[in-house]
Amino acid sequence: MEDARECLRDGVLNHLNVLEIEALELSRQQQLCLQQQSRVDDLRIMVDKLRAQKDQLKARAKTTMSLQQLKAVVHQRNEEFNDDISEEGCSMTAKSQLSFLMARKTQVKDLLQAHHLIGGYDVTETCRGKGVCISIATAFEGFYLETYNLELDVSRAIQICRHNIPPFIPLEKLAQVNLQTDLMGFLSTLSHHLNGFAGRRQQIRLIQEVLRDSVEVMESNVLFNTIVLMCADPEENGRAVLCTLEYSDLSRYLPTKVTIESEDKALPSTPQWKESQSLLLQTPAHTALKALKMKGQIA
Amino acid sequence: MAENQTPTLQTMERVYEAEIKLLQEEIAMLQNQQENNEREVISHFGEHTQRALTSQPDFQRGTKDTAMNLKMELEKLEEDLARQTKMNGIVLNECEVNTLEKSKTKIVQQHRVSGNCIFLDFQVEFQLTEILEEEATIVRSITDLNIVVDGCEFIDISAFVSGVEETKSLLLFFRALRAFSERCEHRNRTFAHFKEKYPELVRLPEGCRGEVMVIQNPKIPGCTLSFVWNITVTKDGVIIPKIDLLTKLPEQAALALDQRMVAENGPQSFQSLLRILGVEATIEALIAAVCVE
Amino acid sequence: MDDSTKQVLRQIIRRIPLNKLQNMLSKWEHLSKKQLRSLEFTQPKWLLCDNLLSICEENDLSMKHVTELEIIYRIDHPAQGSWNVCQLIDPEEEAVTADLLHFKQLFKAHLRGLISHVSVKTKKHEDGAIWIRIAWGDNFTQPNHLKPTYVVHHLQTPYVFVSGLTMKHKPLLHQALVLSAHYGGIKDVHLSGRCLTALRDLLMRQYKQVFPVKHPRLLLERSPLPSNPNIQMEHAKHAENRLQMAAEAFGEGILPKLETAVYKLETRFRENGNGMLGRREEPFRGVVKFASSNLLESLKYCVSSGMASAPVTPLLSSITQKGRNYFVITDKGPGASHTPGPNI
Repeated sequence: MEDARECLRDGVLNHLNVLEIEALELSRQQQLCLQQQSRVDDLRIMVDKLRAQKDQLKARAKTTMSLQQLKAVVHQRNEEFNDDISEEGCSMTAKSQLSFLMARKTQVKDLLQAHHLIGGYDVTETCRGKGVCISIATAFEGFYLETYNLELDVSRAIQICRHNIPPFIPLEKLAQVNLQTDLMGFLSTLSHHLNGFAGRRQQIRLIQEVLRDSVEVMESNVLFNTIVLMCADPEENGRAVLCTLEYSDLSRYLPTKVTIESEDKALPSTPQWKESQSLLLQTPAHTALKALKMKGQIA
Repeated sequence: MAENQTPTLQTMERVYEAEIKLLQEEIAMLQNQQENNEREVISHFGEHTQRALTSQPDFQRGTKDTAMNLKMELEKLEEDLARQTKMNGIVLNECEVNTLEKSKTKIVQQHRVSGNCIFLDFQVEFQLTEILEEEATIVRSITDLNIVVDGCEFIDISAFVSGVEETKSLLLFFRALRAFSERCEHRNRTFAHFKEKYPELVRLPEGCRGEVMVIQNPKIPGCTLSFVWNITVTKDGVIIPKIDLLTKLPEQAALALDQRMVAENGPQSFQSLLRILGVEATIEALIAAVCVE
Repeated sequence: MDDSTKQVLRQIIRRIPLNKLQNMLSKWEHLSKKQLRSLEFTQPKWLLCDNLLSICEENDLSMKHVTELEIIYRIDHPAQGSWNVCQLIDPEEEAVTADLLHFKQLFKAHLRGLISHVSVKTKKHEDGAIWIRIAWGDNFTQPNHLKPTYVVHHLQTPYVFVSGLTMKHKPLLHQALVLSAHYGGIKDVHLSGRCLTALRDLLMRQYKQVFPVKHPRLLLERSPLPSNPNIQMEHAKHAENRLQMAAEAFGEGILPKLETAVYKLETRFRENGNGMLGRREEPFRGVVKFASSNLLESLKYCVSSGMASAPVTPLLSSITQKGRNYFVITDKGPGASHTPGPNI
């Protein structure tokens, strides 16, 4: 009460302010508490889960045998070759078979993973054998990029039911050529197209990321098969140099034609730039331009 | 009242967090142990797994179901593996994985795979890194790559391989390896076919996996046609076959033919013949030409 | 500025909401900074409009500049009006190497050849699409800028998005598009909606699709939802299957925002018993329309929660698989009478 009268002396508005601040503080603390409580709950659930997992692993370890034990079993079996199989022997053999099976299962899983990592098609059967789903992985210079998928109906003639391949890849045209007659050939061509596209796009991304200050991407299109890049001469009044890269083979990530243009008409014919022109034909754009920058040929 | 509860909650948090860390470490250790164990078993008893699968020991009641499930699972996995091998055109025999670094946002693994693609053997070692970036995107990349290829066609592919190692283009390597092997196999089959069909006229001086097939009529020594079929791989994985015909003629014949500029126009007409007829028909035509004369 | 230009400008200003107007005017770049600052955006719109008009007259702006403002606004807010989608078919050799400049020139030339009074304006969007604004006239009248048609085309893809096109001008537009993009024909793909980006994402497959592939365990485990291991869901497997089927049919993550799906029924009425309707020979004509603020999300939820039966009926999954939202169902099967959707 004393407090209240004191506060009232300062004015009602002031008092309301103080109350509001107190209320906010209390609600903040309450929220903090609730957060902590829910976090504790989550942690407890996590602990239970991990405990269950640990128990499972321990039980599994008990049923499998180490290499030593298996060697011992085989040795023993060889020795007791003619003996009748005793109760003990039965369970040991069963146990060793389990160990073999589990070990082989891990190995097969590892091999399947390896197939996936080296860019395999990851074939999966669907619809009880009537359909098949294929993944095509794309990558460029060590970076894994998108994975594209195709669902095929193989019950009668091979048909594509579903896919997530972008519409600017000429899928229909490629399918007309050899989808029915040579599935592997079709997939190979498609994979080359997708990897070519992914490679060209990645080069532009890398140029925009790494060479932001030296090279500007003036023009590009969805297929990234016509690119116009602008860079500048390192001298003071840095003349602009335009490099046009044309990729008429959509399955490749190297250009088929490189044109160098500049305000200075003589520049493209200098031996330096003639060399750069052939460099751009043989090396991916971002690597070539980086090299030019290091050499001091572009700003 | 709120203030009294918070310290207890905090201590509980800490206790749980510590226990979680401990459990995670234990689990990781158990998993590692299990994996190592299994790998040892497989590498030691590799050949015996077939026997293990087919043998039917008496099981105690409890384990019988587990074994049956395991067998069915394994059968499905083996089917899958066979399917992948067929589709990918690559046979993998061994693979080893070592985890070098593992955290919530990054994992680094060292992989070693060995196998073969038709008749080229390979051993590929690569380091795989996966990083969890913001917005839950995972970036997967190869951070180290070493490739060893075995086989007499290795020379044609060696420049490509070193380029691929430099740029860490693992997938490009296998894509090109498959295409290259298929072309080599085609060449091999074609040469073998003609060797079988015309054993006296056709010679393979470099063996059937070589690049050269020599056509020579034993009745006309000194006149040989060497069919050279070169297959190379460019840096970006494009397979380039190059077929040339080398003719060796004895002096008198050469002088006579030279009057009609045959030797000079030979290569060009050969290339156009190839374009029109294709490889097999061209070889048949050459053999026919040698026989007639 | 003549009267028709003023009229068009008034209409444009009327359509642009006040809060976006300042941004649009500065993007337009036809007013000086001083002039822009002199406008008071807290005034009632009609007053603001008058002031703006006088400034435009000062700067001597013409119809050309005014229509630019409209294009800029439509590009930034593509969800105005409803869009229909067409697909170019039978590509010729040059279709793959189509380049923007050539297409623009050809299109303008062809359209001007087909109809004498027409105003065409093009603008390239940063995502590579070309926006075309067409004001139609005819042999006797000037182009009508109050009812323009908008066309959006992504080069190297066969899709064309059209808004505000009348039946009268449809064949002209189609003809011009086919000739300038080097294709053999064009067809309607029965896909429409207000949200242009949704239609585009659906057709360009820019949303996350789910396929029945067993991905070998991803190295980095995505943090799973903490579920108490002592609590087991009774129908966990079923729920998981339903979720997987829903994801395969409709996609994952953020789905394109379609608003409607229309099924026109031309099937015979089937009923048990001997009612009157069932005996009729002619088809029972009806239309089933699904409408939602985000149709695909709603349908996905129906499937994953068990309200709709799984596996997903092809009537619903065709929306994403075929990229269309208007279907005619006859007794012979869905969509048999009309041209199928855009994909293979």
